[in-house]
Amino acid sequence: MIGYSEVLQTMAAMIIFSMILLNTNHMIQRNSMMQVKSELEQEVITLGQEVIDEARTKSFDQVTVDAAAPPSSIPGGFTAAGSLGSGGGETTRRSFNDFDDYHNWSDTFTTEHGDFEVSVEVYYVDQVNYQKTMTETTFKKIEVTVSSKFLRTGSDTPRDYKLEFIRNYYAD
Amino acid sequence: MNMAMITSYIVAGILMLSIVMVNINISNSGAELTITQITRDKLETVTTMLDDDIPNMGYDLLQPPDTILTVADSNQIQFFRNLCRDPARDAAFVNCNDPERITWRFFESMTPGSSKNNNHGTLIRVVEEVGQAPDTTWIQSGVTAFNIRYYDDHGRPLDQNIPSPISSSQFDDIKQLYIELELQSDERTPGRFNSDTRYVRSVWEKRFSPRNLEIEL
Repeated sequence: MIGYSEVLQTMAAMIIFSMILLNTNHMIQRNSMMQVKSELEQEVITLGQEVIDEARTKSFDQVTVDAAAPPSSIPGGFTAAGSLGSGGGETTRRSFNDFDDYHNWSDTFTTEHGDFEVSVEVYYVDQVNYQKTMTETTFKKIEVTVSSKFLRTGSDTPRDYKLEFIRNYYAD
Repeated sequence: MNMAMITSYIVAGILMLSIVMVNINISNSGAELTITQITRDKLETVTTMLDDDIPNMGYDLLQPPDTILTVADSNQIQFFRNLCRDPARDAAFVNCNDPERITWRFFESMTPGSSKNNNHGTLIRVVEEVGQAPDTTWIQSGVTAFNIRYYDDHGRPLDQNIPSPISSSQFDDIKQLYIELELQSDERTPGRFNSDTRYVRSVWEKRFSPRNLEIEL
């Protein structure tokens, strides 16, 4: 019986130690994941800002591109809410000339940290509550969504990071 | 000494060794996390300065000198920008009407004496106010790469940049800039063996579209 008692004590010690080991490994793994995640999230923010900054250099609307005078009707003269997006000849990012040309545009950005999927939505927002509206206003909102296969939610699906910017025609 | 005693000594020995190894691993992981955080904090300090300078190049430039950029190379950029018109800064300048000339330059082979990492270089930011001595900020916090690429259009693929150095006649063509900044830690991460150790690396890259580069002065 003495032999059995020692074996049981050893087994108990091994079980306790195994549990400690599992927890430790989990902690070390989580540390490493946090390091990678924060580096990638920094890249996500940079890419989102990059697209927003670029869009801000363009004209507010198609009717204001190289226009000698403001449109006769503001905001009624702006592109209809349902027609936002790149026009006929504006097929690539390089040919975009106004803010809403980026609507429905998407691309893959290759960086030092791997590939990132970027997609953009531009829409009019109400000037009181900044909510999406289907009528023309002097406010347009750009919403840039960035995702990476390495940044995932708890349910293991790619996580979408959204960066937004509201542009006012009069504040240009 | 019976067999049971010998076995228990062996098991105890294995357990002790395992506990020591686990302890070492936890310490190493903690140290690596700390080194990473320090490196990233240093990177953020530099990027905050760049994020303020680059998008605002050409600010308040209504009079000669009539070009925004004066040097555009892969490791150096020089441009005019008025740092005044900001209550937080105005007191630091003698003449708020004239724009300051700002230079960012990276010296790859200028490793700071205090650095333990031979890859470290020195990044400088020089602010020149008209009639005043230049004010140089020495950034010796682990910068290992500072590359700038220039583009004549928005959204060009990364490798389709204007070849550097760019001549002054091409400055007006520049619409977009891509900056890559890499920092490495001063200390190596601890490892069980020497071959495991490495410097922690943090990279920041961004394409800038300064609004003033769109304006013909």
